Amino acid sequence: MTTTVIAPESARVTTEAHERRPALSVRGLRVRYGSREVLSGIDLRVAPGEIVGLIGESGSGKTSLARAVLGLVPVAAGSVEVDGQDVSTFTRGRWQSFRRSGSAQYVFQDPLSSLDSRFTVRASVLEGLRETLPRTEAEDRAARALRTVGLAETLWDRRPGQLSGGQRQRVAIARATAVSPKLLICDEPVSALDASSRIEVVRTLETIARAGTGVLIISHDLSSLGAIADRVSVLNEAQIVESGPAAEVLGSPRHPYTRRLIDAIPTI
Amino acid sequence: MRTLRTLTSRPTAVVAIVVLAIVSVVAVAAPAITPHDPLAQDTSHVLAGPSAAHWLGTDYLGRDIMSRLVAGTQLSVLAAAEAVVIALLLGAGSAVVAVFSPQPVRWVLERVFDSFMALPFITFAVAIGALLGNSIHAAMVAVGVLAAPTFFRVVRASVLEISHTQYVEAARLLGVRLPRIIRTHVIPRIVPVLLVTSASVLAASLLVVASLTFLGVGVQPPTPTWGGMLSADLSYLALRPWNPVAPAAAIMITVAAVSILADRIRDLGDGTRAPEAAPDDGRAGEVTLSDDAAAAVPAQPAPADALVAIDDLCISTEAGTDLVRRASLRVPRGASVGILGESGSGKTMTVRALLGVLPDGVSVTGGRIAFDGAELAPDAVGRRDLHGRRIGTVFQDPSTWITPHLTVGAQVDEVLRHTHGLSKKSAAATRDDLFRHVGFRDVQRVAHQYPHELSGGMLQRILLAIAVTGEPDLLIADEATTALDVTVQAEVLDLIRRLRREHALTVLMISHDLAVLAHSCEYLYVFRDGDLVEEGPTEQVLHAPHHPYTQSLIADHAVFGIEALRHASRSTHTPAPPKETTRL
Repeated sequence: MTTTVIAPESARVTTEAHERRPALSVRGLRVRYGSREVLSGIDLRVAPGEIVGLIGESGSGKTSLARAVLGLVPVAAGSVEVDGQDVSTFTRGRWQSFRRSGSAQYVFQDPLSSLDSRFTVRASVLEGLRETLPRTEAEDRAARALRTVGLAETLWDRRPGQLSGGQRQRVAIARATAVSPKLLICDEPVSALDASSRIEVVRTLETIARAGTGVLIISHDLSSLGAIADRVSVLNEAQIVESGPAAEVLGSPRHPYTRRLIDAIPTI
Repeated sequence: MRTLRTLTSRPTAVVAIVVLAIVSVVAVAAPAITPHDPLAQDTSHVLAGPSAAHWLGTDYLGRDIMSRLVAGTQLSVLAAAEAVVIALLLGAGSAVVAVFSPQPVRWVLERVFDSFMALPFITFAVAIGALLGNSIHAAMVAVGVLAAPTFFRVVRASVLEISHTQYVEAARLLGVRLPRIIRTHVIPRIVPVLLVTSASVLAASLLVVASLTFLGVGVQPPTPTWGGMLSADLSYLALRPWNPVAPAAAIMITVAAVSILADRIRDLGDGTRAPEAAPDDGRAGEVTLSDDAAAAVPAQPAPADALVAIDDLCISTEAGTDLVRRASLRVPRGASVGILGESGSGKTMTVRALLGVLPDGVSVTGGRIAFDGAELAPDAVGRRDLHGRRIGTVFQDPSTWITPHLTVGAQVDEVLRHTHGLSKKSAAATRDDLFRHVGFRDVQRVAHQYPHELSGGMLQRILLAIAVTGEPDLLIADEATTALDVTVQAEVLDLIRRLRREHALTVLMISHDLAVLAHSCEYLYVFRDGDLVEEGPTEQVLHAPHHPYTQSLIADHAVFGIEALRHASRSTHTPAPPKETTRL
């Protein structure tokens, strides 16, 4: 397994971003389910304002990585730092307060499942804010988040069933970003969406990142996300086989698996 | 409000509501409307038959049966309701606690409620009656405790399901506290379940109250209850065989009304959940059909070179929503044609109309569909011999098209024996050939595996093998690679190309993915919102699209697609020649 690590200065992001405290820093992460190791020594870094793509197919361990960062599966070895705090040692109670502080947030693949169908757009976005903030302040922040993702005020009282796929996913992004996370993890954020909705969600994620949030996009198919990712890591069979600036990894892949993966994407 | 209106549109539900309303009014107004004092004895008129003064006759102490029935309503119904409330609070409350508690607490609660279920109902109630004093409330506590496991099990199952939804997980990741999650996400969703369970427990409790008073537990004479009356009247069954009918009927009618209403409310719950689940293609499921319009169009012979010729096809729901408007398509024999569109664009409806399998409430309202020169009737009747024999189909999620509890070999054999009339032995041999044909090496091992042991790509290859067994003329692939990983998608697309060549198949591919179709098809149709907005040879659609929608799709692809980053690899890697590449 060759691992190509590209020096940060060749990335599109400035080195200044790397000097700040990273939004996510994963070192030597191992995750096991029983005797099976689904992640064997992962290193990954997401700087504030940076978009990192993690490509992997089913069974590569990409979702386990996200779940380990969010404390949903236990870390067997290694460290996971979110905004400078090592979350791999957190207790249950510590997780609860860490989540309430909103440091790391998650956007699911299918907004139809991740949004409560009974909740209005406004109520969904308010949900996390109301835990820590008084009503008026929470409403201000929710409104700001909804405007950032470009949802018109006329949609705020609708329920998920009355929105398009792209609008729904933007609600999910607004819900996650309203609590001002340092790190936003998106698991296949566009693969449940139609082509025209994909673009609006991709643009929204770009806006979120440029405002200073570290964004980690996990996908089996970066064909519509490749263009916004600053750096890309390729996960295959529990290990990262290649990482570097998106243009280099996707444009001239070095590892045979990456090459195969990219060749498999149909072109027009 | 809408639910109430839907409910009252069901005649049985209306009858049940009226019955329960009458019972409630009688229960409340009993003292005012009893014709006689229910406790007044008249020893001169013992066990009298119905008369003008005593409509239902008198009992063994000369008391008016009608009055006792009316007076007993309140106690009988309230007692049953009390039992339900106790059961609900105890059972449903513990269920919610159990689901959201750590393992030991959950384990203990589950065992406690399991053991409740083993207790004999009536005996336990009698024992509690003896323990807590022989009052109706003691008896109802007993009934409530014994009915609690019913709530526990039903509610636990629902809450468990809700607790694993992504919206609850999302709320947890936002740091929302548990009580709030339960209040906002869980409770509103279990209300229908609670209602239905309450109704069935209420019905059971009415019977138990009757049985207990019949046994003399809970209520002491002379207080009238339905069960107590039944008990007393039964002693004089030989003298007055009709007397027990009135209290028995009161119990049965009330129980029946409650059960019916509960059933209707549950149906309602099923009906209101469905549209939420799939709003994207919600237009498909709206109402029922009208079939006559298609016949009105004069028949014309379809051009002989087209295997499939669709002219001016219109598809609508009964509500009048147009799903497809005047679409005309040709699939020339031997060609590979792609239909591009988003969900709800009409692409899948068009193909389903061709197959004659439109969903309920959706019908062809105009136009013609011809297959191999013969026009197809608007309904599915004439099409059965096309399926599997002349048209093979593969769909999006292969696992839903295969029975989970049979080995894949057994399922393929069944298809071969059914469609080809093969013997068991020759079916197995043919199946081995087919599996080899779609690229499996260890065909015996694959044949003995169950669907869950195979990957999505392997299952899709098996379905392709099944689809081509009948040597069809046309292969329809509807989003056949959408659920697969990209490398697996490439393999399946390659397989389709190879099968097409080797079997001289005509291929019709439906997809939302422009690149997939561009890679595999010579001619493209683009659907948008029910209209065919663009058609042409693939090269023309990609490089000189007419419609703004197609233009925007292609422009977006140029900006965000992999192509933007891919030029560097072009020099080292020849892009696959679009049509006939095969990876063998």
